[in-house]
Amino acid sequence: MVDGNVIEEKKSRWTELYLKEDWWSIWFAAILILVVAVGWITKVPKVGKWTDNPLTAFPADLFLPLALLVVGLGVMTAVGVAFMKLDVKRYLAGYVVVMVLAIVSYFLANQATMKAWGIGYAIWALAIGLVIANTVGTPEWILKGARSEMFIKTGLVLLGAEILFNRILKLGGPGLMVAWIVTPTVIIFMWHFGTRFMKMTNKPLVIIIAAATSVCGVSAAIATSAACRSKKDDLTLAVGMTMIFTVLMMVLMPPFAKLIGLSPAVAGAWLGGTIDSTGAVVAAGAFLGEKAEQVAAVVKMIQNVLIGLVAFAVAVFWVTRVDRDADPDHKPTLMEVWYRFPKFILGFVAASIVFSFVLMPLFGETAVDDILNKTKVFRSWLFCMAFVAIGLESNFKQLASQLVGGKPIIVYIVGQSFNILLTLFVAWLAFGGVLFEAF
Amino acid sequence: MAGRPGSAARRWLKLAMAAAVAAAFLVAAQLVSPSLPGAAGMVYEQNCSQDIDASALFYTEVTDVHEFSVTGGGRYAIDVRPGLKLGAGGE
Repeated sequence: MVDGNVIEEKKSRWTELYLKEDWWSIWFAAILILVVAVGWITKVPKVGKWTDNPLTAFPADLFLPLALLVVGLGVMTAVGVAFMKLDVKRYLAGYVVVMVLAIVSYFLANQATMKAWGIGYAIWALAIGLVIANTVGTPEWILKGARSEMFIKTGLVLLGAEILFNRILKLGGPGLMVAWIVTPTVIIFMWHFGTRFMKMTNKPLVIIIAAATSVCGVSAAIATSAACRSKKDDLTLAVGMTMIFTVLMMVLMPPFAKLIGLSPAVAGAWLGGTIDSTGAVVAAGAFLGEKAEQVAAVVKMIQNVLIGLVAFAVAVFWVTRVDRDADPDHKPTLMEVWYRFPKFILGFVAASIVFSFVLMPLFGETAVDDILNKTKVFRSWLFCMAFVAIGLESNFKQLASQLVGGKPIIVYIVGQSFNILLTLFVAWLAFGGVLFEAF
Repeated sequence: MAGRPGSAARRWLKLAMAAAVAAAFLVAAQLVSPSLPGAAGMVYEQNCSQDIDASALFYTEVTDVHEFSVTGGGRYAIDVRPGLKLGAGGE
């Protein structure tokens, strides 16, 4: 890590294949996919849901699988840490603490009321880390295990496997129109609004907020932050804002759609295209009935596919344009672009292509789903650990300094308002019987 | 340490207070949510009754187009049902 950035910036050599975190994130993800695919892992443990009795979150048969998960992930990542010539003992000591805090985060997020309100593990993980860092302070030995970038990148490569292109084709033109026209338009609008009109100098923060607003909230924020080498504080801020507004939109938008008399299909497309989190999209859609719920979920799913494309585009844009603008006299060569390109994104894209065009035709949908159902849980654990780690490394003062002048909030609100209006218009065109047959 | 200045006891007290606030938040949310008025109350009731997990990081659960279940313990998937007529590519 360099200056708290999410991605390192150094020259590439063949030794990077086993010395650099970006490549190790690809190897880690490949190992996890492999052990699941060959059947060595049949179930990945999850903390249970609970309402009044916290003990129900931890049934007796969960302890051994959970312990094996902690040990297994620890051993695997420790091998990479050893190759990267870091202190393995201190990494493992810190890793165990991060993992325990991740379990606590899941435990809190799985309380029934928290689940219903969408207060998920990401926000709990960040909060727990932040509170520890800003009260008793995070000891150095724990920070050695708080390798947020490594966890994020590995999780993102696993995420790539979940983006199955062939499924997009089943979803039809109207959904594609809403998701794929509005999303890039909103990103470009927010980028120009933030950097030119608001004159925000923290460009990574602008693009993370734009991606989180227009694609799918937290996952898009994580992918984009890694692609543009943002500081961790930027990611924390964007995730915090996204989650707060997601809950508000989940509650306020469905009654408003009813009030203005939108048809279920148009309302569903509107909710699916605007609310950041998919869980919240389903919840909001369900408020308006089954058809609205299905259309909302379908539109959101099509939009989610854009995470990889957005991350890839942002990475290319950053190394070819934003970095170049910082040094206008220097035009980067193709090799320099390659050196600075975040390599784990290649793993993300490769995983998506392999699963979509190799494994799916070879083994069929059921077998692929079976693999993904397990790798998804690994991915969630890795993201959860990443958020704990980010919190442990963050400082309230630094976070507050990002909010000076309220510019990030203004960018988010203006961008989200634009997103809401544009999506409503395109949803009406696509699902209201104007361009396609009415639903 | 990436912490705040102050005595150790004071810092641990702050941590304990934060934990107490989190616990109070959980209990208050659990008690108040069922009796919330208006849209908020309705959304909460619906999410609970259908076991909808509105977690912000839940998106990839939607990648399965063949099942749709809001009662499956928070697992979402999509069934592009014939009756839905999802355009030319829809099933």
